[in-house]
Amino acid sequence: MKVIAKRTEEGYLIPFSGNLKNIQADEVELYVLLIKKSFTEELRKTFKKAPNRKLNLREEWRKHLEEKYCG
Amino acid sequence: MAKILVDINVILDAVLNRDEISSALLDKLADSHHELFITASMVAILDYFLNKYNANKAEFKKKFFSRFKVITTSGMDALNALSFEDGEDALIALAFRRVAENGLIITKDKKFPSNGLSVLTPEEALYNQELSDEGNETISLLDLRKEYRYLMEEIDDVILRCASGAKYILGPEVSKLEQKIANYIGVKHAIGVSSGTDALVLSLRALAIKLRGKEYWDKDDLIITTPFTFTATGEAILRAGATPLFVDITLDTYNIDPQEIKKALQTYGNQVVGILPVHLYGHPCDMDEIMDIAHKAGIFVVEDCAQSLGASWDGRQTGSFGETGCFSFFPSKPLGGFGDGGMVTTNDSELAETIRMLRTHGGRDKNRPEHIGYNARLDTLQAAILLAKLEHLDEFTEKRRQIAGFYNQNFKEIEWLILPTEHEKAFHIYHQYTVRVRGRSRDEVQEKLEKHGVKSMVYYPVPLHKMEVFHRTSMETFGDLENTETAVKSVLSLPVEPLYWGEKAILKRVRNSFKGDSR
Repeated sequence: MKVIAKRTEEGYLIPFSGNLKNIQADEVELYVLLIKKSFTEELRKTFKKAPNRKLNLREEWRKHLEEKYCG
Repeated sequence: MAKILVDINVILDAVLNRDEISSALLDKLADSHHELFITASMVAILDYFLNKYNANKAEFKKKFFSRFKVITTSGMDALNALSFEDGEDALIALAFRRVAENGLIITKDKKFPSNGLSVLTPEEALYNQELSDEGNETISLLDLRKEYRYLMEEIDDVILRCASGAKYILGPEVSKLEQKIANYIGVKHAIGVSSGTDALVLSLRALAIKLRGKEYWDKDDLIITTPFTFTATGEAILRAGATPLFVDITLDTYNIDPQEIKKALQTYGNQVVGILPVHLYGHPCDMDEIMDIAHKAGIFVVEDCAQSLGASWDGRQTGSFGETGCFSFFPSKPLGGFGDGGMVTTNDSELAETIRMLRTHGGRDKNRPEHIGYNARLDTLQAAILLAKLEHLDEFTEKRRQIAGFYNQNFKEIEWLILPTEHEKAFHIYHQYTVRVRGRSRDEVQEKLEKHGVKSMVYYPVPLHKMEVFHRTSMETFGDLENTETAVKSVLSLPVEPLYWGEKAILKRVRNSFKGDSR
């Protein structure tokens, strides 16, 4: 099983927890991403409000369209 | 390298920190050499969530679009999309396919209408080895499709504006481009014409009208030029009625040799009416010498600047020295249109007026032509595209110069390659990066490069004095043209696509394909 891990600036390998929690296998192949600078983190810095990670995007967008176009 | 459209569901999951796989994938893609796209139709939903979380939109836009390009979704895409069950996603796929026939779509939507394109989930894309490879596609001299994608938003915009503006002949974009080019070159006038060749013909014709009061030069009138150029240079002289006098080049810059011009003038005397130097490969000719010779001989200079927009000699732009400068906007040129186009630059108001007449059937008033004219105007649509691209001219020149620097550094120890030089007074724009192969077969070297997937070209394999057209019509040669003969057998132009500068892997492949045979 492959698991993504990210190397921090200090050199630590951090496996992504979202991947790890369901792992049953004894052996795990780490797939290491070497990202010099995180593009997504740079984009997130432009947000003044922290995004709600649990938000149902599909539902949110549907509600928005209803409000905007269906009065 | 791949062309990848990332669906908005992946982008939102990454940016809103909802899914580590999508985040990791976006980081990986942004850090790769792949070209990344969204479509214009995706922006509405992106905008909604940027507003919802009070994003600094200007900052987000700057960061996001430093890696992503926006593909125009057209009315025709919309009409076609309605034939699909999921018209919204079909709109994306149809627009993307137009730009990237073999593109890849990354989406969480398992029912995405791929329209024949490859589709991967974020997880599949993250572990996909091919997306981690540097690629082994053929490296071409220029990649005009890549350049279009790089400037896509600006170019699509001006094309659509032009289409709806409907001022297709000598519209406002033509005069705006003329003014900008005149300012850039540092001359009073710039006149948009239908090609670089026509820029030369109209210049020479206008000079015959001004200096001789005749529509054409006589066959006995000689115009000195280089035989190591594209045929258009000599062809223009013939079309203006004169005879080309071919004079040898120097092997350091491949440009016409001023010392040979002096000797030719001693032999041919008053028969010579002008000099037509070509700033070959983007390296300016020695304009101090050439202008000095011309002034002393009382003859004109028309500069062939087809390859030299942006190049300068002692701080002065090419195209500002002679009676006229003649530029080409052929697609592969430093400033390339989406078809043919050209420009004449001049400080001579009388010549400018005559050239304006010649490009429009020979008259100030089309119903009262004064000269034998042409239908040789620059199209409004071309001017609009060129205006958009002109904003990037210096950026592209700088990138080509960086590539030339990379090659110079990496090839300097290959003793069988003679690298291009840059005269201390010259600013070389490297329209071509042209080496000379010494002591071995140029054609074999070219074949080996081809086997490594590296394209190269010979500019030019046949010198003008060996072309049938000049033998059948009219030409003179001065001396044995030995340097020209050497150059045609040994020159080789290498990939110098400006956008390769951001992709070091490509340049390293070019380097390695030489070093594999640097015995």
